[in-house]
Amino acid sequence: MSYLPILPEIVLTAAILFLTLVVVFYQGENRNGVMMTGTIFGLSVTLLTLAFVPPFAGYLFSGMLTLDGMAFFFRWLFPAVGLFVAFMAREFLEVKKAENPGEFYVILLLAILGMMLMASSGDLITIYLGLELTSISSYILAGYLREDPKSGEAAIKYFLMGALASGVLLFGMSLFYGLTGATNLVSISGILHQVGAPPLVLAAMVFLIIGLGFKVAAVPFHMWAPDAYEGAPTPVTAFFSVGPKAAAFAAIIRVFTDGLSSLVWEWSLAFAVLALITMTLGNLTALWQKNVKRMLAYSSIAHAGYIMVGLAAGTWQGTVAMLLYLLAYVFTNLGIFAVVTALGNREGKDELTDFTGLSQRSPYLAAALVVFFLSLIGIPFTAGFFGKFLLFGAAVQSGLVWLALVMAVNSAISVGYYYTVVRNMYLVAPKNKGALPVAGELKLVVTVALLVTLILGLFFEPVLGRLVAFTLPG
Amino acid sequence: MIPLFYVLVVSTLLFALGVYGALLSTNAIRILMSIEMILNAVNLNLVGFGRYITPSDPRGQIFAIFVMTVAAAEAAVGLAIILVIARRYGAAAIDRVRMLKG
Amino acid sequence: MIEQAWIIAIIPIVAWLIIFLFAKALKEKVAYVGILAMGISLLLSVLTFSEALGGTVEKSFPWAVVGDIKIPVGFQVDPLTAVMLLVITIVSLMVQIYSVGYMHGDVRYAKYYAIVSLFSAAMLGLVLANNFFWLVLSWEIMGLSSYLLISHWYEKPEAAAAGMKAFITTRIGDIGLLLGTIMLFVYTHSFEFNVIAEKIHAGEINQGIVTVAALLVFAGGVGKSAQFPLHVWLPDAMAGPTPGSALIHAATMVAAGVYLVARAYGIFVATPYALFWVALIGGFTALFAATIATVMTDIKKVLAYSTVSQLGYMMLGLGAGSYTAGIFHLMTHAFFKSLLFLGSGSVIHAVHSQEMHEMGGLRKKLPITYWTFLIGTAALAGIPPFSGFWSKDEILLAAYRSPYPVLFWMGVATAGLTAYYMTRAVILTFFGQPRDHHKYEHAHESPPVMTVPLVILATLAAVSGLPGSPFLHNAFGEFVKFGHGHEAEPSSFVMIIAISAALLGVLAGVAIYGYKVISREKAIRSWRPLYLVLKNKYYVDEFYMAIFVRGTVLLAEIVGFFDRYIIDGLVNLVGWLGMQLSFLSGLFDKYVIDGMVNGVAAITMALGNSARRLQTGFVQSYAITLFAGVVIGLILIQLIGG
Repeated sequence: MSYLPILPEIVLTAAILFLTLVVVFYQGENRNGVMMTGTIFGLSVTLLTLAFVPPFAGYLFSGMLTLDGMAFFFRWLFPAVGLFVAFMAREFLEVKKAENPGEFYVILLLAILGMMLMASSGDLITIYLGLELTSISSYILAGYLREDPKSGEAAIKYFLMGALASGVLLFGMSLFYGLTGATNLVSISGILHQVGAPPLVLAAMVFLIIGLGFKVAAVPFHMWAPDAYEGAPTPVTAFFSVGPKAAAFAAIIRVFTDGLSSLVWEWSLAFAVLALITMTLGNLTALWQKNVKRMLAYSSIAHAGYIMVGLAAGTWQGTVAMLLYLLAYVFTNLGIFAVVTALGNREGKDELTDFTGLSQRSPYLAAALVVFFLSLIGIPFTAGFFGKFLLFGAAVQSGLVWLALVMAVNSAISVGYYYTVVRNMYLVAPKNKGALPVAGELKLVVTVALLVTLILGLFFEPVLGRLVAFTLPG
Repeated sequence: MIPLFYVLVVSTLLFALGVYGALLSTNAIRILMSIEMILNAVNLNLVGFGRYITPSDPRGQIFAIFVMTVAAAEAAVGLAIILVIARRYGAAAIDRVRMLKG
Repeated sequence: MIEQAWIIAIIPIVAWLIIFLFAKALKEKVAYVGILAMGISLLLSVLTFSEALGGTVEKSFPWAVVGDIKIPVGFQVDPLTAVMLLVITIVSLMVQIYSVGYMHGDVRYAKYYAIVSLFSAAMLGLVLANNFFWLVLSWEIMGLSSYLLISHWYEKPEAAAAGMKAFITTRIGDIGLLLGTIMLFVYTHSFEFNVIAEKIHAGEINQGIVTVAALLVFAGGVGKSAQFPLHVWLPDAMAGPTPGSALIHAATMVAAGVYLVARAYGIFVATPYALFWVALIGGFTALFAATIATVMTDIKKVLAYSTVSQLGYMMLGLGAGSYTAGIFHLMTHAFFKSLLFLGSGSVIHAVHSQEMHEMGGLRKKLPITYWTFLIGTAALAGIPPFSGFWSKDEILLAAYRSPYPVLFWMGVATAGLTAYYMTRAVILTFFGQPRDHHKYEHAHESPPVMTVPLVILATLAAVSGLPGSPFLHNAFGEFVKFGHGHEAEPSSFVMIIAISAALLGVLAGVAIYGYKVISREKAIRSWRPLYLVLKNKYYVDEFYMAIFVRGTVLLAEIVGFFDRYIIDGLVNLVGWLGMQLSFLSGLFDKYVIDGMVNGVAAITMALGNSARRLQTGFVQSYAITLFAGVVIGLILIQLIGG
């Protein structure tokens, strides 16, 4: 058997091992900067090797991995997310005087490895392993600032809830194994097509929906998210809001469209209801927030709701729409968090009032933030528009006009809280005067995110074409 | 041989007990132990199913070993986090940790 | 030129980019960039128009092809587009020239020109698009520039609020348009107007679906063209700079809703029910807004309600079945309404007030403004031979021939009211004695850069009706038509009624405000309830305030209530359950495992425990929700799955 198709994962693992050694043995100057450079290098090589890997390698290791187009998409997306977060982290760790800043990067890479595994798994076992690798790393990242009580609280809440949800998920998985005698998704799918939908299968499905719904912070399993997002270090919050969330969506697509395809009627209905509650509650609660990270947490809950509309559609068009939306959402949100990090590094409180007068203190960041918000709302010529448009179309195509309407109304509600920030930036006099010093790498991250947001908004066709080729049935 | 049903009854009871403990104790370590109990219920399920449903295929047992390994890692990280919290609030007072809310 | 008509829309985008990038270096010279670009666009539009007389062009390329989803990029130039191109470029050019004087010294001068250029590009793109996809895109950008312009002086709270109001109100309609577009796409697998119309015409689509889609698309028009009940944003939008209002909120963007209905006419004619609603909403809005305009004292508000009313007129024309009449009125209205707005801008520029009660007698001070304003008034009031007369006559004719006579009488009443409130505005502004001497003394005629556009527009307002008149054999109707075109025989009855209504309105205005035959105060006193209703614009804003704003607050309160009582109640319940269970567990602890512990103490601790658990932020209340979700999910799935 050739190991070539998983070369990127091997490279990443090698990088993790090497960087672990660096953390232990390198005692010289500027360890933070050295580790960041090493991380970036490792991730870049990972991305490079992806170019030499066949995107459609099929089933590997007796079906443990499914290296199809969708897996390829996510295996490309996650290291890119890692690059962004690594760039955001350096100055933050310095400003917050974190102990052992080097370990941060190693754990981040471990989480990314887990996410890549989740997206390409073809078996319940590999999904579980990927999920836990991501989750356990995430718990550590959330509590990384040991001296900050908020960070500790975020970690313990995330950990306890996450472990419980993993238990629920595992229980569902064990039931599926008992009911079908298989853990491989393709085999499960084949057997389920024969047995139909007896009550026990449906019960097991509920456990899976809830376990994975927890990871994407679907209401009512979202309660951990605002606390974890607010308390965690800002670059980690950025990571949580896009990385593990996207990975969990990848796992959901895997489990439900690959494994439970015969139960599509039942689970798409469940996700339609979840989507409805999630986006509505997320948006309504976001309106009342004072802390920007908490607001963005609720915003990201609402966006998870939008993305679930693609699942509710239950068609391959829905899946394509989800992937495109995820792509747009990931880069837009990373851009937003880069701005929040830049501001938080100087102001330190992450309150909405910190944004006052940002248009004078740093016109570039303020303008970029406006573009990012426009993208999240779904205004044309930004990345978010096409994602929403396709989700809309997928919903209407599946006869879910009501859900599309709710989505449109929600998108209008969301203007409310984004506008608060814009108003603070442009119309309110600054609390602290003087230009905002912004680290070079944060500017770079904002610029790249801005470019992706705008380019995706204008020339989404090649991307969309690839995505469709990746996800077309058969 | 003991029927599969008995195994399932025990595992379900273990699961319920784990949920009960996780919901109702305020001691973080106890909650952690309850979570381990849930995972053990899952393991019992997996091993039981593996023995009775697919006797020729050790898949279930392998899954259970993975779960144990992961649970160990999870417990290690969990204990470290609890230690951080315990230094500030004391280990038995998870209900006092509520700076973040709303 | 017609083969490359898309360039017309690109030029203002280039101008926008240049202004955006070099704003600091160019300072007030940015105006020349905008004017030059619009001049070229106008020239190209004229060329395109002359070629369009020979035949129509449509070009389309696939932009993105995804399975069975094909998103095209394409344009077309048919008579409708050709006319719209001319109207937009002329008005935009005039407004930009005028703004050189009006906006001089403004703090955000460059931003203003950037927005106007961006807006022009979007509007030109909108009329060039041959498919719904690009129409919606342009529509959104147009909307965006409109909100930016309304809140141009965002230091003024009412300007910022008006921008927000416009955004939210039009968004309601936009959602309809978006849903309609997607619905049509799902059923016809195309975004292109022609393909959709063909498929509908061939009877491939269920009649009911066509009706729903048409009404959804119309909702977009209702929002953008400020038709009842979404008209509330337009009067408030007058908080923006006056020349911008002239371009966007009087002549062009608000006409986009009318254009949309005309462009999608193939969908509307397939279902009489949809057209009936277009006519009814249009007619009602026309009458409704005209009555409000009779009591407004702010000159821009009068014109704003007049715009709402006239847009209703256009919708009435389209709905009554005359495609030509609606578009003809759109064109003439663009000219005379932009003239009136620019004229009012000139007055405001002179006296620094928008209140007509602080004006009076200005005709000697502002002769050019006065004469041009008078021509605009005559056109709007429908006095022959000015342009408005001919286009209004066409609409009344269409309404007269329609099966619903009520539409015709709505139109006639509106015509009378229009003549009345415009006469009133002219008299209050330009005649009589100056009511504010200080302001009167300081008033002076505007510079030529502002008056020349007025004169040009006045000429157009005077003569642009002629192509639709019998003198030129209804050339307009022969050119811009839907299907077999304009057939209705002119009716002398309609013409006489229309002229009488207009004259009656003028006479009433002169009698009340000129010669004071009827005392205004006395009239107000004896009709006080009616006056108050009108003065408060039928309380629509208050109604929305009560329903939506308070509704939102109420919703928030309900959510809060839900949070406080239901969620907390649940947490309480769980807490209570926990307490009971803990009690048992306490007993268990006491007697079995840990017999040393005092049972009462255990219970007390459990009690305190439960009490503390009611606090949110408590991680186990999260866990309880999680497992409650498991239980509820299990129950529900068995119910629906069984």
